[in-house]
Amino acid sequence: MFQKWTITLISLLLPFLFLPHAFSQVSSDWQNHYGLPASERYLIHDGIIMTVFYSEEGRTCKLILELAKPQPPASFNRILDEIIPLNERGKEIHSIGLSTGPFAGISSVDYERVRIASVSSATAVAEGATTGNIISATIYWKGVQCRLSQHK
Amino acid sequence: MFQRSTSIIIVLTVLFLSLPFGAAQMSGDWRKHYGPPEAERYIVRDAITITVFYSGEGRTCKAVIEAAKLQPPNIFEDLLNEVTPPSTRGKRVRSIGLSSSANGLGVREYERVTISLITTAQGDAKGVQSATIQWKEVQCKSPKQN
Repeated sequence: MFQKWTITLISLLLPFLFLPHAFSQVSSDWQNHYGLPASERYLIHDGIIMTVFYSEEGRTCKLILELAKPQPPASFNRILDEIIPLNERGKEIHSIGLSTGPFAGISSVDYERVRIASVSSATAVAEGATTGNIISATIYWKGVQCRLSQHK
Repeated sequence: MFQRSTSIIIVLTVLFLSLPFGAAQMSGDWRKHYGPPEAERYIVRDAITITVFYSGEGRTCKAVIEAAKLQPPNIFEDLLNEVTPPSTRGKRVRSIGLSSSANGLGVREYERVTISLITTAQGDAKGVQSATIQWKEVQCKSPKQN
């Protein structure tokens, strides 16, 4: 008898507890309605925001990394290797760089399958450093067309 | 014999065609590595997108509807009704409107959500550019979005 009452009470209380959130959708609700997302944003380690853009088929076409804390090239390359390992990029074709000061500039490295562009600045550069810190980077997958390109 | 070589050719062709895209990850690959995303962007209509932000529990805390070109107010009202049907908003608490000659901001506060609309003018055309819905009791994962 006591058990039956407890179960009834719990089943009455549960919907009440969830009521304020019941009207806010989850990811699958949006996907059921609008199909696959055209882009997603992830918070990865060290306060880095990673925005990924997809093609019609759901493949990654572009990825933007925004660094809350500017990082020296060596530690930034470790993050880059985690996202797109060297063996997945194909052969390096060429690279170019433009500097706007001793530490600030943009650079682009072209590989067979991807192009990686990065922006560096003098922000938070350590004493004695010879290069600027990376503040953002964009990876483009060659031959994969983004769905959102026409909306940008 | 002929059938076997045809199958081999098909398998090799498929492998070759998929080669350039082999390195491009799918959404599931990123999720496996970094967990659920804090935001997603969907295409809802031609030139209209919705960006949804999530709480730590994966519930929508905020949604931003943006149009590449100005839209008449009824288009946005339809979208708002689709995203947050009036029956789910709770009672209307208050409405505030601010406008200048070209731009306007309208905020409607309900028991469970707050909806704000931005209207603007481009040349002679005036219309709605974006709308934001915030779910009051759901805290976004990224503090910047709250």
